[in-house]
Amino acid sequence: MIALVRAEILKIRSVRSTLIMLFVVVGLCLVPAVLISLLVGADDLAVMEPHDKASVLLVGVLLSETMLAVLAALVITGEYRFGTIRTTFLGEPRRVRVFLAKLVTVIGLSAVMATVMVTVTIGVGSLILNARDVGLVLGSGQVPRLLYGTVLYAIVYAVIALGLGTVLRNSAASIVLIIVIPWIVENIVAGILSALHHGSWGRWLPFQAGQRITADVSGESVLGDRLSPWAGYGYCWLWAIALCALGAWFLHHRDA
Amino acid sequence: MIEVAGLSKRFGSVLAVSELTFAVAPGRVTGFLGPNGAGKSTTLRCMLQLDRPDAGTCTFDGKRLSDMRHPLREVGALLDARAVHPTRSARNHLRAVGAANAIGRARVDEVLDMVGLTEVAGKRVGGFSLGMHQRLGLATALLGDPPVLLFDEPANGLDPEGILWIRTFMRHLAGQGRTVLVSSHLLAEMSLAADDLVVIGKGHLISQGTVQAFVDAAAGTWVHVRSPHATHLASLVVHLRGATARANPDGSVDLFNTTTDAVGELAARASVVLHELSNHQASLEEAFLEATRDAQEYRAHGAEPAPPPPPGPPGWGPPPAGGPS
Repeated sequence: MIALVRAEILKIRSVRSTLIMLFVVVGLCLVPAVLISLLVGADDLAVMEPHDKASVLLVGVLLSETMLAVLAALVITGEYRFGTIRTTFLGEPRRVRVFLAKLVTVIGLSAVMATVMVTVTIGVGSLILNARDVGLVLGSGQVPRLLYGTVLYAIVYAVIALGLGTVLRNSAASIVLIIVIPWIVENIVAGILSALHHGSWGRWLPFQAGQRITADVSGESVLGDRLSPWAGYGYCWLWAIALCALGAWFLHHRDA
Repeated sequence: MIEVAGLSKRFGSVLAVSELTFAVAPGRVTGFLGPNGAGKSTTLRCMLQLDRPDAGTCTFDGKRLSDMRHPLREVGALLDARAVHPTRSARNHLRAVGAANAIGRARVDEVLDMVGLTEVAGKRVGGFSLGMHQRLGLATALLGDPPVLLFDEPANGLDPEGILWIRTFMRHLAGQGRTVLVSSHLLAEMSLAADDLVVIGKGHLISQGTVQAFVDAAAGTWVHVRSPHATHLASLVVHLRGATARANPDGSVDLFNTTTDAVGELAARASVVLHELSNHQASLEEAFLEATRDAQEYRAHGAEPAPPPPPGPPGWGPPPAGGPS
């Protein structure tokens, strides 16, 4: 299994486009943080809650997380696109093990990348804010959960992308869906639900539920219309696990 | 040693491979022959567990692929040489493949040297020619130094030099005692490269044995006649001698179960002018066409010369479209 994971890491490392993407991932979330911490007025920043301040700095993370998910989908669909999946299966005919190796790699990669981008973004952002005397208090309120929650959400997003890619086996379709579902489809569905006065059903949308892990819930009542951060995140993992199980089942039974 | 037993694979309503059973011996090059669409690639994919067969098994030296801890060290395969990520270098491709079976850098450089790709090992595969792709595919198959090797149409699209190189390499590998199975639809190539043949058509086993035995069993001799009155002569031969005849599109006639002596004497008695009277021995190519005649999945109707008919009752064979009847 360790050998298989090593092979997967080598595959990611040895393709230039994925390496470039990894740099872009960090850049994408750093640039908005720098711009915001430099350009937003000191008076506006001074009255912001710590959680809001940290959220604003992390606004670019949405894009980085999406890029990581795209990369995760490519980990499997890229092999189908270039036909290397057969070579991979010749090296390990027990295909579920191949899938597990990819899963471990995707979880590890997204965890490391997300941790790096959150650390760099918040680090650089707070340095600038401190210099302007409107510093960010990282330990206060729900800010810690926002920070590690961002990493946790990036992981589940990437795992869903891998599962979806394994089911679909097609790069273009997987990438489009993995971008469109969380950012567009879920918003449309939520809009329709609330127009029908069933807005609370929106909490069962997988990605919106998953993002609850980063939410500031201090102002919400206990019996609100939304899932608690950990319930929402756990619910999102149910989707991830279901998609991965389906993907692994297909992988085992379909012709390569 | 490769043993395939009762292998069957169905795609929807098409039976691609039907209860195929054969064995491939070590130390020899075995040609896996069949017309296009006969099911060669499907069989190879089923043997390698890439396609899920509906029935049957395939073992390599008694072991199933999925029971091997390091399959690349026991079975090497070249299926599609183009199946490489174009922006990965040749060395990194081999390293990633090898990593899964705990094959290290040293062996990667060794196989690169073996196929003559050392100088371009760091270059992106996307810029490789077809010949270089084939070499890289061969290097991938040899990575685990396996005793069993499977090649799917390795000569496809190669120039004569590349074909000669592949052929020499395969003979060299068999000479080391490895089991080498090579699929091809090119008979001439196989007659030079292979010791044994496994012939399939429409997913069924047609013949298995040495190349010589295949030619002897499937081939025949016939008499070729060109004459302004070929049709008349043919009808005389057929009615008098119990032979069979087949008219060719160019007006000539092929006669079976007879000899040039008999035909010549008959022509003289009937005062038929002969422009050509010759004896023909079927080549490997013709033996192959004969053996797979009913099993050709795709063929151009009337565009190709019809193969000789099987020995049968006297009479005219089926005339080719457009020919004299």
